[in-house]
Amino acid sequence: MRLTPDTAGLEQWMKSWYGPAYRTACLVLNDSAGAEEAVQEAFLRMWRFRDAMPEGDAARPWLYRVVVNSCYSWARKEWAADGRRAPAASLDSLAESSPGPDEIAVIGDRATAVRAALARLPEALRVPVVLRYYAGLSEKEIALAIHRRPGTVKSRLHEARRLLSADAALNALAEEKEATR
Amino acid sequence: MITDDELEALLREAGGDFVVPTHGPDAILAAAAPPAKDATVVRGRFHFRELALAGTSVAAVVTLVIVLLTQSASSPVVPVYAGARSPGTEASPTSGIAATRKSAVFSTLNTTTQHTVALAGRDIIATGTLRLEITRAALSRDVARLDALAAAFGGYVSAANIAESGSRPGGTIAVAVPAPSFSAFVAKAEAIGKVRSLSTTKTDVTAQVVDLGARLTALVDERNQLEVLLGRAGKVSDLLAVENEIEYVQSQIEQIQGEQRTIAAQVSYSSLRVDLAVPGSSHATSSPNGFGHAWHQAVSGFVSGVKAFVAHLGDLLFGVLSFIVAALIVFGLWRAVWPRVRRRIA
Repeated sequence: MRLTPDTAGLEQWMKSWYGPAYRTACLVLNDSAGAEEAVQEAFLRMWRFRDAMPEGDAARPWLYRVVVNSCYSWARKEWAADGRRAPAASLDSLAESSPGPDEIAVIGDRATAVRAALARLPEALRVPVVLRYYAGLSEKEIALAIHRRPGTVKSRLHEARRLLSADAALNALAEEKEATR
Repeated sequence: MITDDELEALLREAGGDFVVPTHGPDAILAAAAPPAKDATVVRGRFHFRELALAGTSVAAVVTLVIVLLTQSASSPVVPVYAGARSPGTEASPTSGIAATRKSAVFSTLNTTTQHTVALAGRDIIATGTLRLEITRAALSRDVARLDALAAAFGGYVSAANIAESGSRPGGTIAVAVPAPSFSAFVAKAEAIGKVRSLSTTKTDVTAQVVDLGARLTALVDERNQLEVLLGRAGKVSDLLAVENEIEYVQSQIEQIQGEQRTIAAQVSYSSLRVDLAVPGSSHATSSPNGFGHAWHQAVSGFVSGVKAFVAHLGDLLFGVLSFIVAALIVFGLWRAVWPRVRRRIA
C-alpha cells in the first residue's frame, strides 16, 4: 500500500497503520498511554508534512522514524517531568534486575516479561530491536528510520541480542516457546 | 544466545498483547481534519495580522529613511534663515534644529561671499532689524546718514518715524536696498551708531515662485483654450458662459501676477528696520548693570532653557520613535518567522 495519504484516503491509511505504529510505540516506551499520545502526535506530524512523505520503499522507514521521534519527544518530556531516567545499559545491572523463572511463573505473563526485558535495554538498543523484530524492518530500513548508518544498526542489534541472551527470564521464555512448537 | 526467530516470536507476541485503542484513529482524524470555516477565518486573520504588522514596520522604516534623506538633502539649501548677533559677538544660532541647519550653512555669516554662494540661484527675501544706540545730538545727522547710505546703495527709506525732541527721542527707519547690496549696507549702517543688536532673516521663496509660475502657465493655457471655444460658440448663452469663464480665469491670472510682482520686489529689494535709540530714553536699552538687565537676562535664560528643552525633546522623541520602529520590526519578523521555525523544529 502506498503510504502517501491524501484527503480522501486519509482514514483508510490511518486505520491501516495505526495499529503497528501504536504497538511499536508501546514496546519502545513500555507505556500504553504515552504510546497513544506519541503515535497521535506522529500521525499529525505526518499529516502536516505529508507533501514531504517519500514514496515506495522509503515510506515505511519514514513512518517509523516519525513514530520513534515522537516516542523520544514524549519520553524526554516525561523524564524531565518526573525525573525518570532511561534504564541502565550495563549487563550487570540487567542481570541483577532480571526476574528469575520462578518469578515469571508467578507473573504468568510472557508478554509482560518480554516488555520488562525490553525496558531494561538502553533506549539506543531497544529501538532497533523493536523495529527489527516487531516491525520487521531490515537493517537498512532501520538505519533510515533512526538516522544512523547500517553498520551502527548492525552493531546495536548485536549488542542488544547479547544483552537479551544474558537475560535468564527471556531465555527461559524462548526455550519454553520453542518447546511448545 | 537467543536466536532471531525466537526474539521475533517473543516481540510479536508481546506487541500483539497491547490492545489498540479503537478511538485512536478517530482522534487523529478529528485533529487532522480540514479546519472549520471559522478556523480558516482566524488563521487568515492571523496571517493578515502578521502581514499588516510587517507591512507597517516596513512602511515606518521607509518613512524614517525618507525623512532622514530629505532632511540631509535639504540642509544645504535652507529655506528659512534667522540669525541674531549681539555686539561684540559672532553670529549666535538660536537653538534647536533651525540653529543646527543654520550653523551648517551659515557658520561663516560674517563672510558675505560665502553667504551669497550658499544662496546663489534661489529666490531669497532678506529682512533684518538693527538696533543702534546714538546720541541725542547726532539723531538728525544719523537719520540723514542712513537716508544717504540707502541712496548710495541704490535703495530708499520706505518709512520713518523719528522723534527728535521730548522724553523719548529716537525712532524707527525702514530702508529698502537692492538684495545684492544688503549685507554691505548692513555693515555700513552698523557703523553709524553703537550696535545693540542685529537680526536678519532670509526666507527662501523659490518653491513659491516656481509654483506661481506653473499655476500662471496653466491658467494662461486655459484662457487660450477658452478663447478658441469663444470663437466657436454659436448660441448667445454659450458665448456668455465662455466669457464668464474667461473673466474668472483672467482674474486668477492677474492675482498670480500680482503675487509674482510682490515677491519679485521683496526678492530684489531687501528691507532693514533700523531702530535708533538714545541712552536714557525709553528707546534705549536698560543699563547693563541694573536690575532691569538682570531681569532681562533671567527672562532670556528662561526662554533659552525652554528652547533647549524643546530641542532636546525633539531628539528624545526621535529616539523613542526609532526604538518603537525597531521594536515593531523585530516583533514583526519574530511573528512572521517563528511559526515556521517552530514547525521546522517539530
